[in-house]
Amino acid sequence: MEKLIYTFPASKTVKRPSHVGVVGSGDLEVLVEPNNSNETIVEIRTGITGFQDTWKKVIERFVSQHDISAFITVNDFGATPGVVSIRLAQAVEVSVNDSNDN
Amino acid sequence: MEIKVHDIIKFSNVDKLEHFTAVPEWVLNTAAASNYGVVRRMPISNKLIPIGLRGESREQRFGTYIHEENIVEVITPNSLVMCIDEFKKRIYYPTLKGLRDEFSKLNLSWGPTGSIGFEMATNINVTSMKSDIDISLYIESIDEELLKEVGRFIKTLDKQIDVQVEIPIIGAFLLNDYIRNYETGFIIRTPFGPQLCSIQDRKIKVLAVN
Repeated sequence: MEKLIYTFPASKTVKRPSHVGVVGSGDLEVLVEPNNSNETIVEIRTGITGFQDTWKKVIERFVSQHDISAFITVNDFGATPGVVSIRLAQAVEVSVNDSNDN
Repeated sequence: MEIKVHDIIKFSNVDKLEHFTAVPEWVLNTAAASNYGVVRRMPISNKLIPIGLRGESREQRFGTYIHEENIVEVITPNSLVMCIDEFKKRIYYPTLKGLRDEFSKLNLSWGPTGSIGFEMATNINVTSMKSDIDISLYIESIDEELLKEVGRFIKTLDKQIDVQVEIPIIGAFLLNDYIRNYETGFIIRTPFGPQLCSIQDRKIKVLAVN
């Protein structure tokens, strides 16, 4: 099990926590918890080690598109970068959305 | 020759692979990698089949291509269902047997994939006590009632099973993801990459994400 943590400055707060994705081969879970620290903190837990460079690129691309002050937990089960990007964007959408369903 | 995602491809030796990139050292030293590959989800052009080689650890994965004419044998996950009784001593046997009995009642086409499918197809020991149980389910089109029924059955089993539902031309999705999120957004893996989709009016709708 490998744990990676990335921190980036952020300015916008989000409305609500979110939880998207599934526990299963080739997928991941993403949990977003809003905070007021003006930082995006991403913590990745993965059973597949040695892909730090790829994770860093995927997360950098994500924060360049989404400015959210939040603690984001990623539980990875061998997802491809494409699937990771979709799940992150999906989680943000739920967190910033006005509707009450989650 | 029809070749599909998750089929296991046998080749005579590593020299038969297309050498676009250097083959990592571990491939040459691993029996599982130097004769077998698993077909990846990618478009196939010019009869070049995208395959992934697997080493002993989860980090040892190498994506490459093989020309169709260099393939010695194609073993489909579905063909392994007939061989389940040859693996009675394996820890996954009772689970696979339970799946076989239930899916045969439902008249469903399926097969073991992942490390278990690889082990059954090659007779090379690659599973451990911790190995996931991955299977593919082959259906012609999305059938909500049927998929929910399969989901309910899977929940009654004592092991977690990752069911990937394969639909011709469209691609595949995880059964759990579909059941939980088909109205709000589930991921369909296509040969051209993953897409967030939902079902609306019984049709697949592609959702925009950025």
